[in-house]
Amino acid sequence: MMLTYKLALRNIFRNTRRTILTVMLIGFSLAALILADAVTSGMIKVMVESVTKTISGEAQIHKKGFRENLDIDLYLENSSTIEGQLAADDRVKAYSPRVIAAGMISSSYNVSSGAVYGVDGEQEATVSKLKEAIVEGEYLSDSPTEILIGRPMAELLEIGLGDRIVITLAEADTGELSQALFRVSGVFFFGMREFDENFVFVNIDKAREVVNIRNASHEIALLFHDSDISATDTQAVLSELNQGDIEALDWRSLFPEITSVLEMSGFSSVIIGSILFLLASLGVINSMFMSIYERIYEFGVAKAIGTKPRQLLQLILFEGFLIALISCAFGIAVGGSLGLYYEINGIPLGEFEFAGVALSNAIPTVLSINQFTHFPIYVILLTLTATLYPARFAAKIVPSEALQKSL
Amino acid sequence: MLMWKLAFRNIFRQRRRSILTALSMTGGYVLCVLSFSMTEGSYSNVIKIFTEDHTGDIQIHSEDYLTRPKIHKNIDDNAAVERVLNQSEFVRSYTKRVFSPGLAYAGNESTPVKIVGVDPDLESNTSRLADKVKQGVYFNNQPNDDGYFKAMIGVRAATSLQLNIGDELILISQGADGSIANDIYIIGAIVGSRSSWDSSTVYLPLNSAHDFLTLHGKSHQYALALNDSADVIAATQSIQAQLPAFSVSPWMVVEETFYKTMQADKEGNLFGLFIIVFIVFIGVLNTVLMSVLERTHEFGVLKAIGSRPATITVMILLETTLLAFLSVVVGILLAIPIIYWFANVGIAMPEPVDVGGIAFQHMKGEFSLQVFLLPMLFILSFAIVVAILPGIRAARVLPTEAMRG
Amino acid sequence: MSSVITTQNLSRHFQDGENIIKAVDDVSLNIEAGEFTAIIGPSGSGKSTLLNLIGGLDNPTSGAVELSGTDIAKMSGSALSDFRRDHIGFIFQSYNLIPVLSAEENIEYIMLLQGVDTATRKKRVKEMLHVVGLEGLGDRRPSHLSGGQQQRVAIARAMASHPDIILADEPTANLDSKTGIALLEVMKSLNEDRGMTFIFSTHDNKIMDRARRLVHVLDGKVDQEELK
Repeated sequence: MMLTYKLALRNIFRNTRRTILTVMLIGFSLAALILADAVTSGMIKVMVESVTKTISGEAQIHKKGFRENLDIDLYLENSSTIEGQLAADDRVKAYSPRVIAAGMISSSYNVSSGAVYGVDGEQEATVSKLKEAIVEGEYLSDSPTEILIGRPMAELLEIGLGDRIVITLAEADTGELSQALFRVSGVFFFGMREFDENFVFVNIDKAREVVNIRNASHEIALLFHDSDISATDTQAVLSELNQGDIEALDWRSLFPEITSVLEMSGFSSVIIGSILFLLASLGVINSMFMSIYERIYEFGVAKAIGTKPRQLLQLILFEGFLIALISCAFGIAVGGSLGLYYEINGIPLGEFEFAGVALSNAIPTVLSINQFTHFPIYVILLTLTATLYPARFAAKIVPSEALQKSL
Repeated sequence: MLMWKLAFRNIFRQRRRSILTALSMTGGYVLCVLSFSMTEGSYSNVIKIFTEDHTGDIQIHSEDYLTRPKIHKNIDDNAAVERVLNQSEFVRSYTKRVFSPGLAYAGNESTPVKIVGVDPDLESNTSRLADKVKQGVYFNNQPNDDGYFKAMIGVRAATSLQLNIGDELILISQGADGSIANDIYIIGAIVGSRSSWDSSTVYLPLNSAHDFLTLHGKSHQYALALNDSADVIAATQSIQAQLPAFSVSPWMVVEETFYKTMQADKEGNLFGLFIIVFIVFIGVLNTVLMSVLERTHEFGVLKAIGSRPATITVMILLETTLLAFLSVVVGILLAIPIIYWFANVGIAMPEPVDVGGIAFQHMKGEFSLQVFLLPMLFILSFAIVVAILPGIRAARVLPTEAMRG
Repeated sequence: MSSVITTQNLSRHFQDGENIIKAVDDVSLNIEAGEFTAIIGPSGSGKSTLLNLIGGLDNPTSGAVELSGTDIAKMSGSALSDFRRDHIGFIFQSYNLIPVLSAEENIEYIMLLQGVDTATRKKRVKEMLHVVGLEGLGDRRPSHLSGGQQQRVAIARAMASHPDIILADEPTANLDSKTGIALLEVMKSLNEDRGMTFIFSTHDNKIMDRARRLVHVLDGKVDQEELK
C-alpha cells in the first residue's frame, strides 16, 4: 500500500506541467462551483431577508380571504385575544398588529393610490425594520396626525416633512367615504419598490378611527426565535393559529415567488454543476490516458515481470485520487479566498430587481460548510470515476504488445 | 491545401485523445447555445408580450410624467403629436390614454382602483385590450340610453365589488382642477385575469374620462406600436427630433428597472459561460501541449529542411481550430433539435417571477442564426488563443532536435 | 572544382556549469562540389556537431562557415531557414518524414515551402520517386513503408529541392546491411550521374568504404584526412 502510494505520488510529478494543468482544470471547476453557490446563496439571503426582515415578518395572521383583495371588511375582530396568545407563547419572538386599508393619498400637489398601514410604533419596531428605514424626520411616537411615507411617494406627491396629506378611504362594513388629515413626520426607504412607492404608516389607533373598527386589526406579523422557518416549533405555532376563519402562513406561502426562485436556482445550480464536471471529467480522462501512454513500455515490463492487472488498476486510481486531493486543495484555496473577499466586500452584480427586491448594492456572498465538504467530496468521487476508464485500460495492457512500442 | 490536409490528419493521429478533447468542446458549445437561446428567447418573448399587451414600443409624455406622474402634466398639443405620428414611417398605430388613481364603489363595497381612460378604437388597434375581454363586450365611446358610459373593469376589482355585467359603478377621483371627480358608469365588460397587471383597473372611454377628470381633452400618454419592433431606437430618435417639446421614451426607458435587470442578468450569464468555457479550454491546452511536445523531433526535421517558424505555428493553430470547428459542427447537430423544442414549446414556470416589475412565466428559447453563430465564434476564438502558446513553443524547436535518434 | 563548403577556424563551445566543452575546436575544412565524403569518428568526437554547423542547424561560437559563397555562421531566423530550404538537403537517421503525409506528399512538401508551381511539383515528385526506385509506392504513408523505403523517400525529398549539397547523419544506422548497401548505391549514383555533393556523418563501414574522402574527427578537431 505504501509502495503504491509512493509510486503514485512520484508518478504524478513526472510530468509536472500536465499535472498542474489537470489540477487547474479540476480545481477551477471546484472554485467556480463554490463561488457560484456562494453568490446564489448571497442573493437568496438578501431576497429572503428583504422580505422577512423589512416589513413582512416571518409569518402573518389574517382572516381567511383577506389576502385576495385586501378587503377591508375582513378584519380580525378578536385581534386582542390572538395578541394575548402570542405574548404568552415563548416560541414567538415578537408580533405586531396592523390595520391595512387601501385608499387615495393626496397632497396639495398630486394624488396617488396607496396602502395605509396603521401600526403600534413600539411593537412594530420589534418586528419590522421600519424604524431603521427612516431617512428623514422621526419614527412614530403616538401622535394621531403622524404619517410616515416612502421617499418615492414623497417625491411623487412633491412633499416633505411637515406637509399635509389627506387620506381618503372607505370605512369597514359601511363603505362610507372617510377622510383624514395628516402631517408628514418621517420619510423611509427600504430599497423595496413595492413598499417604498405604495405604503404609508400611521398610528394604529388613528387608523382604527378612520377605518371605524374597534380593537381589531387586519394583519398580525410575527417573528420567531428560531430563524429556520421550517423548524417544528415554528410550524406548530402556525398550525395552532390556523383555526376556523383565521389563517396563519409563513413567508414561504405568503411569497411563493421567492420560494419558486429558491427552488429554481437550486435546480439550475445542480444542472450547471453537473455539466461543468462532466466537461471537466473529459479533460481528466484525457490527461490520465496521456500519462498512461507515455508509460506503456514500463507497464508492459511491469506486467511481464509479474505485476497483476488489479495492481496497475489500483496504481492509476491512486494517482487519480492524489490529483483529486491536490485539486481540491487548490479549488478550496481559490474559491474560499475569493468567497471570503466577496463576503466582506460584496460582489457587484449591477442593477437588478428580482421579485421586487432591488439588488443594486454589492451582494455579500455566503460561504457555507457544505461548499467545503460536500463539493470536494463530489469532486473526488467524480475524478475517481473519470479515472476508472483509463485505469482499466492500463490494467488490460498486453505485455508483448506493449514491449514492442519503443518511444 | 496541403497545410489543411496536414492539420486534419494530425488531429486524428491520436484518435481517443482528439475525440475526448472534441467532446469537451462540443459540450461547451452546446451549453453556450442553450444558455444563450434561453436567455435571449425568454426575454424577447416577455418584451414582446408586455409591449404588445399594454406598454407599446414607445410612449410619449409631457415632461417627466413617466417618473413623476401628475394629473396636469398632460400633452397639450394633440394635433402636433398626431401629425408626426401619422406621417412616421415607423409607426403602425397609436393610442391615447389618461390615468388617475381612484376609489370605486358598488353597493356597500368599495375598493381603490387605477382609472385608465382610453380611446376604444385606437386602443384596440394598438394593444391587446380588446382580446382580454372575458365577459361582456368591448366598450365604445357612446353613452347608453340613460346617458351613462360603459366601463371595463379588471377581475380583482370586479370580485371585490361583486360586480356583474350591466351593474352600476361609482367612481371617485380628483380632477385636474383639484375638484372631486364623481360619476356613475355601467359595467360593460370584465377584462384580463386575477394576476394580470390591470386586475385592479377600471377602463373608461377617453372622452368620458376627460370630462370626469376635467382634462379638457388632453391626455397623459401616447403609446405607439411600431411596424417593426427592432426599429425602436431609430424610431424614438426620429420622433423625438420632431417633437422636442415632449418626452419620447422607448420601452427600455418605460420599463427601466426591467431593462436594467435584464442587462445585468444577461451579463451575468455571459460571465458564467465564459468561466465554463475557460475551464474546458484548460483541458484543451493540456491536449495541444501534449501533442506538440511529443512531436519535437518531427518539428526539428521540418525546421531543418527549411520550414519557417511561422509555418509551424500556423500548423498548430490550424489543427486546434479545425478540431474546434468539428466539435462545433457536432454541437450544432445536437443542439438544433433541443433549441427547436425550446423555441416552440419552452418551459412554463409554476409561479410567475417578477423580474424588474414584469411578470415572467414562460421560458422560451430563440431559434436564430445568432444563437448558433455567436457561441461558435466564442469557441473558435478560445481555440485560437489556447493554441498560440503551444504553437510558439513548437516553432521554437531547434532544428538540431532532428538529429536526436 | 570549386569549393562548396569552406569552414574557417570553426568552433562550437558548450557551457556545462563551470566547464567549457569544446565540441568543435578550430576546424578549417574545404569541401568541393561533387564530393562523396564521410566525417567519421567515435561517439562524442564532435562529428554530429560539425555536421550541424555545416548544415546551418546550429550557430558556431566563432569562425565562419561559407556555403556556396555565403557565410552562414552569423545568419539566423528566417534567413538561415530559407537558406537551408534552398541550398541544403537533409537525411537523418530516422523519422525523417511527416507520418501523416504520403511519400509523394512528403516530397511535395519541400517544394511547397519553396513556392514551386503545381505542375513542376508534380513532375519532380514523379521523377524523384523513379530515381530512388519507388514508383508505384508514392501514395503510401511512412508507416506502410519499410525502413529502407522511408530513407529513399528522404533522399527523394532532399533531391527534389535542388540543393547544393546533401547532408546525411547516420542514414544507415537503423537498416540491415543489405538495405543499407542498396541505399548507398542510390546515393552513389546520384553523386556520379548528377554531381550531387554528399557529406555523411557516420561510423558505418559500408559508407566509409564507398566514400572518396574521409575526414577523421577526434576531440573536436580534424585529426586526419584520407583521400581514396
